[in-house]
Amino acid sequence: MVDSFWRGVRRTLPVMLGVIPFGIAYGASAVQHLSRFQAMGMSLIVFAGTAQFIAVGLMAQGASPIIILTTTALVNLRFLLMSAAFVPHLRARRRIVQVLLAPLVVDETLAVSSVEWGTEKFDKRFLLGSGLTTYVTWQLSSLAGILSGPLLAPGPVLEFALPASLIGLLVLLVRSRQVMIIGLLAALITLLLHSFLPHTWSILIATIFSASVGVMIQRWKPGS
Amino acid sequence: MILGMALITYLLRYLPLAWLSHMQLPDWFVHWLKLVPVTVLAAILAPTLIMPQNKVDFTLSNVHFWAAIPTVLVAWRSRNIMSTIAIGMATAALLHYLI
Repeated sequence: MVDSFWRGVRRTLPVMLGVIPFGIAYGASAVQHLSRFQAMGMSLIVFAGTAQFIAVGLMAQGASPIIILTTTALVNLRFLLMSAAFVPHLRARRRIVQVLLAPLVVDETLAVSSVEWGTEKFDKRFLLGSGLTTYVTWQLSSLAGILSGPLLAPGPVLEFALPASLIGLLVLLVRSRQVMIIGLLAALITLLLHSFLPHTWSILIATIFSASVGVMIQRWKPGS
Repeated sequence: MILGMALITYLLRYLPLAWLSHMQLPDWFVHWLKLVPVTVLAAILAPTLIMPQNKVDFTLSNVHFWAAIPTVLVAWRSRNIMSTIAIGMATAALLHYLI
């Protein structure tokens, strides 16, 4: 029984190599715009790397809480589907199990778990092992980033940690030429609206509009 | 507000588990959701890289824009966040201290 837990841990460790610098970069850049408590708190209770980075980016641009919460909701909507994907494999009937496992639904645990689904050996303990590994790694690396942040001189170099991480993520998400075009469209719209509207509204409008156009393009001409 | 983010994120993860996921989401909606992360990231990055002070700036003093170019290339080739961040920041440092 405990086997399953440790298998979850082991399968997840390689992925952590990518998470660690991400966490450190998050901590180091978050601490430029937030207090240490806030930066660490976000990692502890939100536990969503992309959303945390995006939130810090928005805060740096002076966005209102409503925009940040809405963007967080939009960006994290994928958790609905990821969580749904887990359900048939978890068979978590008891409420307490659902409540406790929910925070472990993250990109990394989904990726690692979905491989295990094929072997029919997946169960709740696997997710627990995978999720705790990811959670602890995220907390430790965020902390490392937060603590070392102030030691590094602030300035364009350190501030580039955030855009560099976002670029890294963005490139991983662009899996076809069509998606690349959709991303460029979003960028273009944002730039066009940027001078007229508060930055953060231009981001939301660009996102909703280009994602919609993207759906239409991809349904019209499937494939890249 | 961080509490708000935590609550929203938690609910997003919890509700499907609680409701049992065999909701039939319309295809177009699922499709739309898949495009949201890409578009949000692109929308966030574009102004910070290209219009840092609300004006289009392609001069060399806009270190972020020029450092972004090798960053994108490294991200594209390596598909590795670690290398991307490392090379990106190294380039930024190079540009910052040479210009």
